Amino acid sequence: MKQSFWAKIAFKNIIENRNFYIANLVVDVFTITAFYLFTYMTLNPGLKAAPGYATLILVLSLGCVFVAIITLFFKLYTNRILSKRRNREMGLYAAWGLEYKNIDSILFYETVYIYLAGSFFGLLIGFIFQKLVYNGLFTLMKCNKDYVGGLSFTPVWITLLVFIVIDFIILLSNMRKIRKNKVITLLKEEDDTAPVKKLTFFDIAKGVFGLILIIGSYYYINTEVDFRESIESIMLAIGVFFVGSFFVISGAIVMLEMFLKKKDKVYYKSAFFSTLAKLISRTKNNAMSLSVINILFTCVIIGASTTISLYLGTQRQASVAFKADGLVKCGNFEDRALCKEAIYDAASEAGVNVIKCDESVLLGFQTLFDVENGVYENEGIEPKDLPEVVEIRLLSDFNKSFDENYSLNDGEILLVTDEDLPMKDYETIDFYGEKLNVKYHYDTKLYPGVDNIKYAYNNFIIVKDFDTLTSIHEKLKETGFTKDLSYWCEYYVNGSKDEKINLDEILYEKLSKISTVDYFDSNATQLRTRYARNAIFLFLGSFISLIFIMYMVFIMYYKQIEEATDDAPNVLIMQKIGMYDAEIKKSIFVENGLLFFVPVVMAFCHVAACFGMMSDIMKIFMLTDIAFMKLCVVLFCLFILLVYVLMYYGAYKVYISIVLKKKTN
Amino acid sequence: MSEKMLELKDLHKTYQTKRGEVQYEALKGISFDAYEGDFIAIMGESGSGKTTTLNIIASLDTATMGNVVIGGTDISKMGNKEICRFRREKLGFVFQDFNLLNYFTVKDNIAFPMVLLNKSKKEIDERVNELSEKTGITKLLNKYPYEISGGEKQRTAVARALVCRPTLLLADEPTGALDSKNSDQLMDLFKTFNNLGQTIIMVTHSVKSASKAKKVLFLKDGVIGATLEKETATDEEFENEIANFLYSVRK
Repeated sequence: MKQSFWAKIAFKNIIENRNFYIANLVVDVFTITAFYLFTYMTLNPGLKAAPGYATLILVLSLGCVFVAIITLFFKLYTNRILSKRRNREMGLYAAWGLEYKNIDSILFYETVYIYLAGSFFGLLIGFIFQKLVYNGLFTLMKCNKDYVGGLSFTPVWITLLVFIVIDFIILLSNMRKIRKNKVITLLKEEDDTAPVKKLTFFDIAKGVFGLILIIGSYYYINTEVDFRESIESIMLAIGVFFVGSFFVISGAIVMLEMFLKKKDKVYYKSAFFSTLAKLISRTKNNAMSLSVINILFTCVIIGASTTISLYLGTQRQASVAFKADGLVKCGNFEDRALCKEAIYDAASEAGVNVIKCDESVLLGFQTLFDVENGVYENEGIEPKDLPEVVEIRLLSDFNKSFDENYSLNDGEILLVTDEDLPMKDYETIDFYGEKLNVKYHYDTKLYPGVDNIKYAYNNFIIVKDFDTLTSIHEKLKETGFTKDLSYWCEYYVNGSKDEKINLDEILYEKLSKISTVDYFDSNATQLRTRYARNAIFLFLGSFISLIFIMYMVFIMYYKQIEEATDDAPNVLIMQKIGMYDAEIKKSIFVENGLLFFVPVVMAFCHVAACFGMMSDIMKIFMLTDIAFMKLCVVLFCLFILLVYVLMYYGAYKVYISIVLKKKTN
Repeated sequence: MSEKMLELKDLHKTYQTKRGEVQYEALKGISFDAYEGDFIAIMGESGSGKTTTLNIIASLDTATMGNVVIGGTDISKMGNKEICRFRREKLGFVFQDFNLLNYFTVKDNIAFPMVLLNKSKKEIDERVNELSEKTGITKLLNKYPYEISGGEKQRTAVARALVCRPTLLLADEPTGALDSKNSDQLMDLFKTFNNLGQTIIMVTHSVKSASKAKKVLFLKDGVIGATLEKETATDEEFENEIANFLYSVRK
């Protein structure tokens, strides 16, 4: 037989099974579009104009990899549902005498058609929207950049290649399944008179086990003090509560339904009678799909609401991360005056007023601290899990920065140690051979660290004056120490956001002319960098959430077609017995509603349980306003619930149209 | 004289194409009456119009022309909602392929029509127990349809059809999917309920099943070709009479 014959059959098959393939194609097209746009943005030269572009490209690249992996995972899962519906058809081919290689040819051509159609439309939509997405992303990043790029072939090839690999894996799995099963198994697999699965002891055990898993992982997530130290365990706990959800859906929910069935006042109501009986078997049969919906829904809420709150809270994060308007560091005392002058000149040119410009000097370097004996040294002391940094600062600078009023005499110091390190009450400390009298000692969190991540243990040694500091520095130099004192200027200005950005640019120019300036950061820079990074997160979060929603719709749609086809004979019996169409519709509405809202309710529980962890993650990004985050999550939950209700209503309509259409056939 | 339970007047049924062209005339004027306590069997070859007639009586289908009056009510003039209510209150239906709902237990299958009529749990239990005893399925009440035999399924279907004390019990090839032993048991059950006053109209191919009825209508090409009355004959004698009639017709 010529290959064109199998190609023709494959085409006819797609047309015959269009109800399934159209939904498949829509999801394919959307996923390809999303992947293409991610790749396009990752490779776009225009992105280099964005602040912190290296991080942005890394995040986008990871997004591409993530989309490819979830696409493979979900396509394999949805393909399972689709291929199950077609087993009988494949079984018939085998029964008619087609060889495996012929069936393979049919499957191959079907895959090719879907791949070509999906790629064509997906890329076409990608081309149409790429400029819009580019401009949208740069608007979100609050970064003025004209459109760069046009049509580029590299993202096209990458997209085509990734999806050809995914589709090829699925094709191989379908071919394997046909070969693995006997013809009679294939013919029987779509049998709609399959018996109702009864509740067994194993189901009860599963339900109880699932509840224990969920409650246990909720407890663990919410009692773990510092999640950064045990992120792997927390991720494992999240995985465990998804597994627990599957067990709960397949066991505990069925137990609950059985319990309601035993309640005569509930069960023997016309609205619930058929509903509850059907739900028991439907819940068991659909446990896997419902669990997948549960996972998708939870991921959508967590992913989208956190990226939305992250983006909308950018201003808040920048304020928390960087309280001063700007900070400049230079290498000598004389240049500090030049830096201060540059700050005032730039402010004047930018049309803003300098409210305050504080200077400070310090000597900071990495060290090792012997907690037991109060000794600072570079060698011979057991290192800790993080590097230790000591900073020697002036009392006047410290009092000003921390709004304190300490006083010290000659030879006395104020010791400020990291709150995360166990310390003793020292009377003296040994600082590289020099004994220093500790007049005051307290623990505090000196630096939150960049983005709240702890990179080191920070200790301060506060000395009386500049002379003491230089004397310590000189003594250290005698031992071969090479580090210089660093001089800092911290300024505060008044003015609008745009004026501050303008000041940033002018000051950057001026500071670049001072050779010893090796650090300059400002609130405006932080804001720009964070807007760029958060916009990318939002971009990824939105698209990935949309992909998840698409798969959710897809699973619901398939399940509705599948279940409605199986349920149509039952509905016909109900009609023959004398059930009104309105009663049938009501019964199905309640039944499907209970079925499809179980994963949603569980997802809300998961989100509530994870909220503490989500807010901890947001704190890493300096989003410390939990009330604001809570508001974003709640609003998003309401929004996604509304979307889900609409999706459910659409799925219900599909179901009704199938079961009531069968009546007239 | 018994009360008239069913009156069929000049029933026609024509199947048409979407364009309105006449495609097939299934019934060409069927008229007959059934009285309280009647047990009528409708026989005929495939395509003679037996099932169409039964479906129209059961209000599962509508006639192109003619009237169906059940217990004094003309169901041809009823709206969809009234028909449904009428069906659940006045009619019981037994199907060849049982039409039991797989997700219900035997008990729930029987109780279903009563639940639709919002009967109390007590009433439901009493009636289900009474019928399950009469049909011999008391021990099966908590089983699911896929756990019981064909004969047991059909007895469950009979119990369900009778649970609301219907005016008419309609049966479409009730023994079609059963072996001879189960067929005999089912027909004995029909006879028992008929003796208790239940009016039954049954479509069948089986001469033996038809012989349990009091009257047999022979349909041919959409019209009633002949009628045989059992009167005082025994089941065996009536079976022979029906068989002889069919033999003579075929000859």
